Amino acid sequence: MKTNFITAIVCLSCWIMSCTTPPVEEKKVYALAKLEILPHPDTLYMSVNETQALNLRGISVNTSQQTTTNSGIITDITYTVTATDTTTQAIPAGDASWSSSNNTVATVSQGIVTAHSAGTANISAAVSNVGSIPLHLNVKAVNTAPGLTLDPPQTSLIFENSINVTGNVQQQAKLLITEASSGHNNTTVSYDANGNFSERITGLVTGYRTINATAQNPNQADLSTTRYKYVYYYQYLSPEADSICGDWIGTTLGRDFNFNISRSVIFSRYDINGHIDIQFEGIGVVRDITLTGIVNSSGTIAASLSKSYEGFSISGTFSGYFKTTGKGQGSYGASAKKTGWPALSGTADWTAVKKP
Amino acid sequence: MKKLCTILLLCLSPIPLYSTNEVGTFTILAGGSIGEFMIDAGGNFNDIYTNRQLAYTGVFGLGDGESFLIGKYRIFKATGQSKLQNIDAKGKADWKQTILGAGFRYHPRGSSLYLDVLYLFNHAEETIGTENPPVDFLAATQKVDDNGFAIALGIAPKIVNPIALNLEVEYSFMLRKSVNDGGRKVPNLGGLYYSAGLSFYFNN
Repeated sequence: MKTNFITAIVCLSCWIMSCTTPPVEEKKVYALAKLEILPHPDTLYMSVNETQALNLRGISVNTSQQTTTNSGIITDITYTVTATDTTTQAIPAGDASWSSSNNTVATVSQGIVTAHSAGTANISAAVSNVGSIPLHLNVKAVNTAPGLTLDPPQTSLIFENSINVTGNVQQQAKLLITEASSGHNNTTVSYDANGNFSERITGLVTGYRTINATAQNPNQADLSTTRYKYVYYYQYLSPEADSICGDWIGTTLGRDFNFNISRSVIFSRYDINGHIDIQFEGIGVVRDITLTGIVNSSGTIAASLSKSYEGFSISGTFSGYFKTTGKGQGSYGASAKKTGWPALSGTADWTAVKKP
Repeated sequence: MKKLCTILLLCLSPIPLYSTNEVGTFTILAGGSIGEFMIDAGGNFNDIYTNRQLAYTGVFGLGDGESFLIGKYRIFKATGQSKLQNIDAKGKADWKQTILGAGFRYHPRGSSLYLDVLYLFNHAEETIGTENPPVDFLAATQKVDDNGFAIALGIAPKIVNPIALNLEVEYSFMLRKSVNDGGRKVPNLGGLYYSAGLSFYFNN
């Protein structure tokens, strides 16, 4: 009788304790984290009395948390994984408060900036206490050399006889691009309302080529700004291009990785194969992720990343370009997925040099 | 089997048993037993520790054939799977419990029936983790120490002097509830213990 009574008490206790399992904790938070003013060159060039419309782009961070527990009888462990994801969306200029650091040089209202006098100023916007990265404004007098920037890289290695030259030029300037081997000789280039341009140069001759872009003051041609871009052009699968073949040592976030470039006789292309260690928030560094892909004729690397790791399925892309036959750089992005876990990501830049 | 032992002990208790020990003679008691420890730590214990080993107990005592000052030492181990939430992994759990008891044993008129009353020093150690895949941050070891009392009823009829067959049922309970590192109250780590073994009563 006593035994039955004690057994019944024990069973009742078990049932009560089984009902005290901690609840699953999961919450999501959406928040505006960053504001960008568009267009966003390093410096926006304007002339006195010129006006320009600015736009805003908001970057929202979606933060999700998932709590994992491991429970014994007297031992409990709780571990929370926080994953972040970013989304971008246009924000109407009228929804932000705008300011200029120097109203003598330029004023801004509802996203419309007006240049008043030569000088520099920073234009800022804010939405819900989130401030933008200031846009540096350089206002030049009418009779000055117009501003001009070329998009990076300044030096690149390509395996085809054409290349896109992109950048930003001050409004009203006359933009000329020259590349001797392809017959581009002071070719006039057009640009959009924001000063952005993209000019494709074709017919390059193999070897080391120099492209120069010149922005001239429309009223006085000798007031100009010139920028340079350098290109190594070797034909795809030529002996010169084969110089990229071999073992490379890369570096990302202070960790080394390796890849090999080889010429595929069957597919007539350059194959890239290697392994890289990537850090994921929440699970740390995952080692030996397989890297496999090709080197395009444009000189760019198009490779994929893959690995199965303790239930995680890791995939991503690895891209980049060559500065010379001995130096390369680029970026990668990978995600790690597993049932019951939030999506984890790892993104970073890389540089590499070829082994001698 | 457990019920049978209990019933047997309870039925035997009112029966006048033949004398096994010479009362008034200095007697040394030594013995060992093996049995099943039905821990009171709630239903979760049985859910998690599906592989419970038998508990081993050693006893040593000094007395006059009727009353003994005794000490008991017990080891209990179990393995199983800890409970994981929100992760696709297989948990693992290891349990080790040692109980040191000190108290008295009373054989009425030196009969084979006896009653033990003990004060307990309980030590429990639990290690949990994940087995597949191994996840370092979900592994830990927790230790608790608490005290309690135990009362045991048994019979020890002599097979041949000085060896006696020993059948015993014991119930133990802890006086205070410990709190683990996470602030959670530790359940009662006492319980029912059914055992069988051999005892040696050496006397002059």
